[in-house]
Amino acid sequence: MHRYILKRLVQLIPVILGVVLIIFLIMDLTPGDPARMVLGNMASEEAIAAFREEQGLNDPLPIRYLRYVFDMLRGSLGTSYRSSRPVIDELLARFPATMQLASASIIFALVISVPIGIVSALKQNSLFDTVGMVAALLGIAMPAFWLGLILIISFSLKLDWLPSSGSGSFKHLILPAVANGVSCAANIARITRSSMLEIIRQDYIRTAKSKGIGKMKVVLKHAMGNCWIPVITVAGLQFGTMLGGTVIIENVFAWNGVGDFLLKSISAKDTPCVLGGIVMFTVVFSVVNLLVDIVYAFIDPRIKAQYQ
Amino acid sequence: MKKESKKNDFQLSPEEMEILKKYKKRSFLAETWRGLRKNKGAVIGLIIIALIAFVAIFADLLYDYEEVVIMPDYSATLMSPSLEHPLGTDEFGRDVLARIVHGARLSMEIALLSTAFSLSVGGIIGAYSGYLGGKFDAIVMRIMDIFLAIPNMLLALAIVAALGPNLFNLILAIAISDVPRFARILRSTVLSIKDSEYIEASKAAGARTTTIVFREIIPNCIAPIIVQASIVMAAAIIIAASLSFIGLGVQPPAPEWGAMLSSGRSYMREYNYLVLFPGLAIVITVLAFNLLGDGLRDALDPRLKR
Amino acid sequence: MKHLKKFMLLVLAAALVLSTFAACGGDVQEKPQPSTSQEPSTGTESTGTETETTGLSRIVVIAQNNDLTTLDPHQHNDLISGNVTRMLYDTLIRLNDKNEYVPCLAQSWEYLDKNTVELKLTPDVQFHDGHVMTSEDVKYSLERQKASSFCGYLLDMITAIEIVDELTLKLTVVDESAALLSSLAHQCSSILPKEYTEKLEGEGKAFSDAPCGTGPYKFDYWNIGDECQIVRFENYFDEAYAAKNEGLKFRYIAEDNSRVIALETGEVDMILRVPSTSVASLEGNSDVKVLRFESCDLNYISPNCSGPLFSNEKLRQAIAHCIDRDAMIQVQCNGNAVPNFAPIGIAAIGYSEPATKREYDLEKAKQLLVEAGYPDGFEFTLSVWGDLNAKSAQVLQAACQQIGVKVNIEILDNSSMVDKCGGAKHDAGMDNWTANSEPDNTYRPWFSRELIGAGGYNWSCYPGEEIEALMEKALSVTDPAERQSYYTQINDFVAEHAVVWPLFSAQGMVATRSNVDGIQLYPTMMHLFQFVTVAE
Repeated sequence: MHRYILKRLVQLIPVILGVVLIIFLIMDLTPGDPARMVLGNMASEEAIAAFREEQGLNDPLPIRYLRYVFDMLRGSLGTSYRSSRPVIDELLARFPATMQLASASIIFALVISVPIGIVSALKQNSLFDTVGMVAALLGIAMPAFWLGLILIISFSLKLDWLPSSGSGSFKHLILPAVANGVSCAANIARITRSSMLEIIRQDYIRTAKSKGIGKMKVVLKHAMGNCWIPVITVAGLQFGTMLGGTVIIENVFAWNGVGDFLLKSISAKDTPCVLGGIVMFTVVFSVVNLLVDIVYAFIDPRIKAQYQ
Repeated sequence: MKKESKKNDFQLSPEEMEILKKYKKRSFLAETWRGLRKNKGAVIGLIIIALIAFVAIFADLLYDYEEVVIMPDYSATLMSPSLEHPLGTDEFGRDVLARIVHGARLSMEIALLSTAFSLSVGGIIGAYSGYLGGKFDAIVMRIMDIFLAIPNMLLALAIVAALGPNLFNLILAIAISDVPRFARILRSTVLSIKDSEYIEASKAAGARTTTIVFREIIPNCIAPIIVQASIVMAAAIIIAASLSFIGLGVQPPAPEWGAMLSSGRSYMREYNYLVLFPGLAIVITVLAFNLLGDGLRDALDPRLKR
Repeated sequence: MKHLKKFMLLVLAAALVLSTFAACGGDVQEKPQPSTSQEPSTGTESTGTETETTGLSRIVVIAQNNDLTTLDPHQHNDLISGNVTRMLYDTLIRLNDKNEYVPCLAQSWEYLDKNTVELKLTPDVQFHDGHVMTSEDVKYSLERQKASSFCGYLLDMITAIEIVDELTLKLTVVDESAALLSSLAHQCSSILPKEYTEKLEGEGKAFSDAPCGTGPYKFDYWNIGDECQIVRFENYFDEAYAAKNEGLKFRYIAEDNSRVIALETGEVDMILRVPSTSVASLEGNSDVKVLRFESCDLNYISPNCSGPLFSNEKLRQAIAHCIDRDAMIQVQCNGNAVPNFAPIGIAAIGYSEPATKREYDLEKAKQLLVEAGYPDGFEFTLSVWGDLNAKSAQVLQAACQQIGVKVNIEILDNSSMVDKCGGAKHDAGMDNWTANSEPDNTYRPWFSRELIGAGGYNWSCYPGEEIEALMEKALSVTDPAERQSYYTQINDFVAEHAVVWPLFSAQGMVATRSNVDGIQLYPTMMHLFQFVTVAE
């Protein structure tokens, strides 16, 4: 098993380097002179030329990329144009808030979706199943930011139950986590239902049932264990979608996280921060996928067998 | 698998191959339609999409773009829904329904163009990669994996942020972020059919790689492509709206749904219909595409048939 | 096997839950700082009575729409950071609320000859770290500022700084410059402690992380992207400007609606820059009040007068008549603005109502279009800064459409705007400008011909020498009335030749809870917060 984990970790390295390369190349297309961004509009031409030289902005792209990667390995993501602070500090200051929101969203999604999926499968074609799956379809079709606005209108402006913005307390977390988690929940509910259906139809469950063990017990003992595999896979993939959604949800709820920061950096053309923010999101996403794969390996006997 | 297949003595005549292809095509369409008709959701989805497409195509006949959709009327700003303006007016006094109708055209355009782009680029990459195999396949698929490691939304965001916000860049950004999905689907489908008899037959007939990829492999991948395309179109509409919502998409006064939400947002306390209706338009459209996608998958994917 | 599965799932779930709580925990750990320093003054009885005897109000919470960029006064020139740094540091000269230059860290200033100014410093001024300010600190600070790319240009007229004794300096200036006093009173011309700063920066630390000045408040903490708190400085040298509250907490709430709701619920005491869509509902709320003031703001469009299109004066005049200011004010500001025809904010020094006012008149525009040689209309791109300005841009776009002129709106961020319009690569550019107390700081960057295409703010790119000549004349005299006469001539010239298309001056608005008093509002937006009190 260690060998598997190690192998996956090693595989992660070229992916991250590649991701950085892609984002680096894209951000390099940004028009505008970084030197002018840093030094302001009143800076002299000489000062700008000196700055470009000093920061190595005149170097060819491959050299700048390599320098960025080496700096990254040493824990540096460059310096913000706006604040002149290290990008990594800016990001780390906001990272806990983003992870808090993302984790809360995924927990919310799992807590509501898995039971709905299981019950829908057990009572296939019942009213519950129909309502549940229509709701899931709607959940997938709803843009998270629009749901966020609707939640604000209903629960903050009309009912005045929950705060519409800011962070700090559990109450602040509810609306953004729900808005961000709904489409994820809908996807997981659907996959739970279909994998559950598949399992229920399998022979060993039929056998168990025919032997007269109570239905729920059968489900819990056999079916549940096996239906986790697709659920976890989908949850892992959804995590990526959710990280993307976080950018906009944080903006809607004035949540002081990396996503909101990323948007501000984009509008200020603070390229190092944009680059750093996207790299950070992507690395987190890759690591989560790795974790999912490792969990998967623990559950799936086929992968396990290969490495034992 | 070697690229250069030896000339075999077993050959199909061109006529025979035509017949083979026609037979396969007809059965594919007919079977799909039969499967689709049985699926209530898919039928509903198809009807909604047809309606939206109809409205989008004839948007100009319903509301004139220059005179109604983007022309302000300062005497009728922020009017609640009424008979004259069924969905109210915005801060410029423009009719919200007219804007949503023209927004449908814009959203369909974005979804179609971006999907067409990612489908053709991703499809070709994937088909070649799967067919050729070997080093080419390994390298291309590693690159695709790297793209897939970046969440869609963030990749599109980065591209628009770098290139600047406008309609073309928006379509490009969405398209690029979907390329790897199509590439992977095509590749795995190709892998599953490349050793099948009719490919062997074409090879035996001495067809070149390009001919085989375009004439044999791609047509046979239509089923998974259609399923994926309808899902990608739904996602494209959401991403386009999201990017426009944060000001990185279509520029005013174009009536993009996300952009409408963005400007309606500052009025959401008093005039919440400005936020409600464009959002509903997105939900309905995306829902229709998802329903159709689900239905097609059930109809086309033999594994799920029961 | 089975146990292992369950175990892994548990681990995964636990990791997720823990990360949530860890994140919450992070917040909880950071929170005690503000609450411990805040609560004694508000919550407990004993300090409550103490507050009464000292007459100090509790910490005032102020919400801003943007995060601070830095607390280093020489590393920024923005109003958001300035609201904090103005409270942490002092300048040599103060501009008071009557628009007079009065002593601050400098007791007096005097021109010994045309090129030399003698400054006498106020004695016994303490920095927050206990050091007493000397002329060493002043020389160090001015030189540090001169080296800054953000605000060094303000001191361009100073060529040498000489220390005479502990409390006396001689400044060598290029010419008798009317702008010297305003520059020394500018929020960026703050005085820092030399020894402290050099030591800090010698250790490789940023001054912004541990700021120290002479101001009425000293630094407490700053959670980047969230809030910054400064607390009253007990040993402030100037009784008249000492803080009347225990401190200020600046919170960053970006979203307009959120900021308004935070004020309505009492989460914050004051919001700066009230979103115009919320003014009506705020004014209907008895718990809050909206304070209005005339601002030095100007929303404007600069046509590129050297460009292929708008070098044609008739064409510029034609478009100037397509500007429906009332509609713009209605759509963009909900009515909270006044039309402006001069190239500087209504409340700014230098403003005058131009002799020619080009009002909204499509008939006249059409006629001018014909005279300009474009009877069938034409097409141009309007580069716009920010989503909000795009609303006014759409008003112009619709009006132009009616006379056959197609306007393409292009929304850009600040740096792209400067890149495009500053580089004279635009057709027309739309932005806002807040003038400060020195008119030359507006007219020079706007009309100086050497700045055309140089990446600054001369976006009108007017090639003629007329404006520049008037500008130089204005700078060479010190009599305010005479200076104003030259600026009046500039305003008339600009309006007549449609060099700039001024749109409107938005009303300055600050909203507070109804129990908040004492904010000193400035048209330049450089408000003073030390007199603010909150009645319990």
